Amino acid sequence: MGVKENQNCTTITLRMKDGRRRWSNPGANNMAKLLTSRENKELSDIIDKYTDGMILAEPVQDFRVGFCMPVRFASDLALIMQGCTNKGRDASKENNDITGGNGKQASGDAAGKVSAKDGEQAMGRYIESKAKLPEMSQGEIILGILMNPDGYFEVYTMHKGRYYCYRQNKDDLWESNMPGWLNNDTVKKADVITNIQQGGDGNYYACLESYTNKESRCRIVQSADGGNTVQTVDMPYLNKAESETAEYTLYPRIQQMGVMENGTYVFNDVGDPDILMLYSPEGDKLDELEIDYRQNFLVTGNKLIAAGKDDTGILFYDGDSMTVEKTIAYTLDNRALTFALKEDHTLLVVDSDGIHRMSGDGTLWEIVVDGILNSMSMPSLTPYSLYVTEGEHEEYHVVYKDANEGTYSLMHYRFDKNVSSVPSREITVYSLRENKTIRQAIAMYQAQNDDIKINYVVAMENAAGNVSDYIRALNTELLAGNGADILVLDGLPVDSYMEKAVLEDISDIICPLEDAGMLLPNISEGYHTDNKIYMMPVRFTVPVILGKADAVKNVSSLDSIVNYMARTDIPYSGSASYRELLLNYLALYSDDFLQNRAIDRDKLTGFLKNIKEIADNTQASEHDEEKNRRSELGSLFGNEDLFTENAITLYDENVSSGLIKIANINDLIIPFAVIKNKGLSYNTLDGQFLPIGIIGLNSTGKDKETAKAFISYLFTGEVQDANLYDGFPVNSSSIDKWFAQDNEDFYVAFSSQNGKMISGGWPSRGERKAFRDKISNIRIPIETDNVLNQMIIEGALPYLLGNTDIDRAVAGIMEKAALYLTE
Amino acid sequence: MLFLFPSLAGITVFVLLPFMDVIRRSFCDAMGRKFVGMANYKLVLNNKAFQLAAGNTAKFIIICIPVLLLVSLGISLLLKNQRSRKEFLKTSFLFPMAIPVASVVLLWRLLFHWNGLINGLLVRTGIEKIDFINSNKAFIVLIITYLWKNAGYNIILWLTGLNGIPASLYEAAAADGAGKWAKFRYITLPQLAPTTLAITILSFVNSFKVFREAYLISGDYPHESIYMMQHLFNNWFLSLDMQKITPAAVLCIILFIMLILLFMKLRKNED
Repeated sequence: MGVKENQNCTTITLRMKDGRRRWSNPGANNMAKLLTSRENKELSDIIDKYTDGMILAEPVQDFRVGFCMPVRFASDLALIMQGCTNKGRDASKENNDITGGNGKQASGDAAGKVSAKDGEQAMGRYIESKAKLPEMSQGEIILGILMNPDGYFEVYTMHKGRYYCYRQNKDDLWESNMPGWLNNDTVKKADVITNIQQGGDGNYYACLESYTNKESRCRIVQSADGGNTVQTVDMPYLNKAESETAEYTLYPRIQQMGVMENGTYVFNDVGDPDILMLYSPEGDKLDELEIDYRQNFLVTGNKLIAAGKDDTGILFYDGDSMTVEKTIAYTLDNRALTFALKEDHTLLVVDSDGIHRMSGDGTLWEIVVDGILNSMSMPSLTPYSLYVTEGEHEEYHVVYKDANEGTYSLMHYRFDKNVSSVPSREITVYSLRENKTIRQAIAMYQAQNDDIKINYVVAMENAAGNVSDYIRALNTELLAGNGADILVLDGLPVDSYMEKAVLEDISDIICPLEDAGMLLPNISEGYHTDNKIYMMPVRFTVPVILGKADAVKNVSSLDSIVNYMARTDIPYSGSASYRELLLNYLALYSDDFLQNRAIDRDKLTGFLKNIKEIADNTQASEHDEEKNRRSELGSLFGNEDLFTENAITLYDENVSSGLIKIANINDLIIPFAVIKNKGLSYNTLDGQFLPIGIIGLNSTGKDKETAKAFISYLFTGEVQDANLYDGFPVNSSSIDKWFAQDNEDFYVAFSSQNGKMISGGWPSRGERKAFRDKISNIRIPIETDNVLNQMIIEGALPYLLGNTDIDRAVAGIMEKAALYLTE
Repeated sequence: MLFLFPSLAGITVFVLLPFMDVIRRSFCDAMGRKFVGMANYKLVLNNKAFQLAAGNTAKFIIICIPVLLLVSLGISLLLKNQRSRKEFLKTSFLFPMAIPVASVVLLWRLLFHWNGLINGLLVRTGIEKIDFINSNKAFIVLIITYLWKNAGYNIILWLTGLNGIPASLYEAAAADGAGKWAKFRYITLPQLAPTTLAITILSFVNSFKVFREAYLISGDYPHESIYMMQHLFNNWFLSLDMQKITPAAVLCIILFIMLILLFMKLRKNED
């Protein structure tokens, strides 16, 4: 706290201490306790208690009156001292420095009641709970959730072509009706309703999208006659074609919309979402504003609040004067921001870090709700809107949109003074790179366990640098006994950690899951070592060869591939860089020449000769900038960027095969479309799979019980059911659910580099079953030795480029590899 | 003792105590939990990578230090007798010390790369290219780097020693008919003996810093001729092989202490 206060020295320290000195930790704690005690009107009692009557009662009363007047100020100050950040000065970076974490550590929650006794736990924190939504029929879809001016929620839904509105009443019950303005012929003709909301003028508005064989159009409609009828808003911008061909005309589509009190329409176009346009009720363009399209904007009264483009901060635009009144500095992350503005001009912002608050005339951000501890940090959820209600403490409701389901959910954040300000148990999860499933699980687990905090340290978050430096830093921590409780082993020296007993046997967690049939046995069995289990992936992807039937059959070794190539006239696959070729085939066939940490010179020579044959056949090149970049990443992080060929290549070019990677059912759509169109087939590669998010337990972790409970939670259906596009679940029922899912509405189309179009729908039941059967037969995890791979690539490149002969290349590789393997 | 206390306390906390832990760990398993006796020492002494790195490091020291001493002494003698531009030349020799290692490495790469400037020149003159980085020539490149970087510092030290020799000794020798070689053999060399010892120790210490250049030129696994002890330590730490690093460190320290004792004995004999 003392350090945080130092960040805000200009505002607080200068005022309180006349110098840029900072509080000591105990000093700041004591001051915070005094201030909160004063706010709680307990200050005099504490003074009495500790001074044992030395201070007379009467002056204390005076003191109380004189000192307690600015309660709001006291509260603000206590809040600031507990949890200020200065987003404008990139507080997340400062947090990073302080905590050594990923900048998303809790930077403080709303201050609660703090006991005067030293060492007693501070109490009070915002707790998340799922708000109760109306009971809906099966198949009923939520179109939007909004809060009406009376402070009650309205949920708009669609079911079997009819639109419903559920209104919350004061007893927290939901009353259903069918709004006339939505249930009429004008609206029914539309295919999709987006952006239902109440304008500043009191009317309800909606965007309608219609698709025909010839055009796609978007219209704005508004409720009239108290919601009984509908009027179409005449917006000339939407009637001007954006692109027009002989077959199809595309009209502008609205991404997000708002209506000011004075009737000004504010919206951005999906085609150019960086530009926020303002139109008069008559349809005349008034102004436009450059914004960050990833963030939501807020229209309230005649004000517009939006995130400026290129991290320029939060813009306050006045709809009357049509000028930007002010800009507040704020560091955006990649997740959507959502705003709320109170009547006293207090601004609230929700992002993945939490709910940030700045009073109307303030300059400092405070984090009142820590996003790390709840759904805000879940990758699958995007904040859509934020509502504030007054009470003893402010209460917040956040509407989230689920990226997987496309549905909405409503979360309630209520201050609970009986919960400790900071969870009493804390564990740390370490990974080199962000893993979405783990991030999601952490948020879900914390939401269910108020008393547990899980720090997720992502060592290389957006940072460049040498991966070995990060590993050395981790090793230093492990040796000092300060390492993270749970290690995500992707890219880490797993064998060494196992050998050195850094990893603890987790068979007591995994075996019961296996016995209960929760884990895919063919995946988990690959991680049994001498009756122990040291690691387990939370996801996996499946490398697949797609191509002509003969090519698919001949993948048991590089020799068989080269023999097959000799029999065909067309290239074996699309072009790639040498580096990419080497990485892919090393991942699949390095066992051919590497056995028991020894390299067979002749077999390595054969391997490189075969690679040269494939490279010549496919016209591989040294400089494929995009692919080189991916491959370099792959070499750093193991498996993430292997097999990145696009199935469209096989549709577009006359080649025999391609190596692709399937991480979810969506990834099957285009391959199956190509298979149908070109009469191809596919198969897995000798039952190999790529593990993702390999979890290990640190044997010197401080809270192993909590860590084990979390690891166990990672494999539950609750976590594994969610599709975060980072791999298939290892949970048996979750993967079955994925494959059982029908999605008739899903349809994708791609245009190839040569202008050929290919499209496909959700895989049929038969296709899904066929692939599910293939998954049942994969059982070999692909393990890459990044150091050795790098040596082989560096040594082989001059040979592939023709700068040296095979003997010299192999000798160079053997020399370095021998050094590495004897170390 | 009182004056010694601050530095002694610092050395105790930051060097001696951590090293005691290193000694303890050298008899334990990788994570320092289980006592394993001398097993780690046997493991390290039988490790081929350790043997190679120790051999290379010793070879480098044995070759480089005498060469550096001779080269820098030769230049300093020339400089001492230089009448014009002496200060300019002295400063020029010190420049390499001021250039950051990363920049130096970039320069070496530019010069010694397969497609670098030197190979470009060789090709133009009809000579075959030389793979300086991935062949035995890497050792020569490393020696050149070390000499280039450290010669300036040694030159200054030699000059200080040379300037400390009274001119009257040379005058007296000249009066007795001594030639240049006789003056050098019987006056300069004996008078430089204390300086030689100091420069040798400093050069020995500096020789370990050459790892930076080797690492930046060729990474974790350079050509085996320039694979030094620091490469090995670096790689062992990456794979958390503390059961190997710690005994290797103890062995190195024992060797250094023996060498320093030898230097001290030599100095005593000189006195």
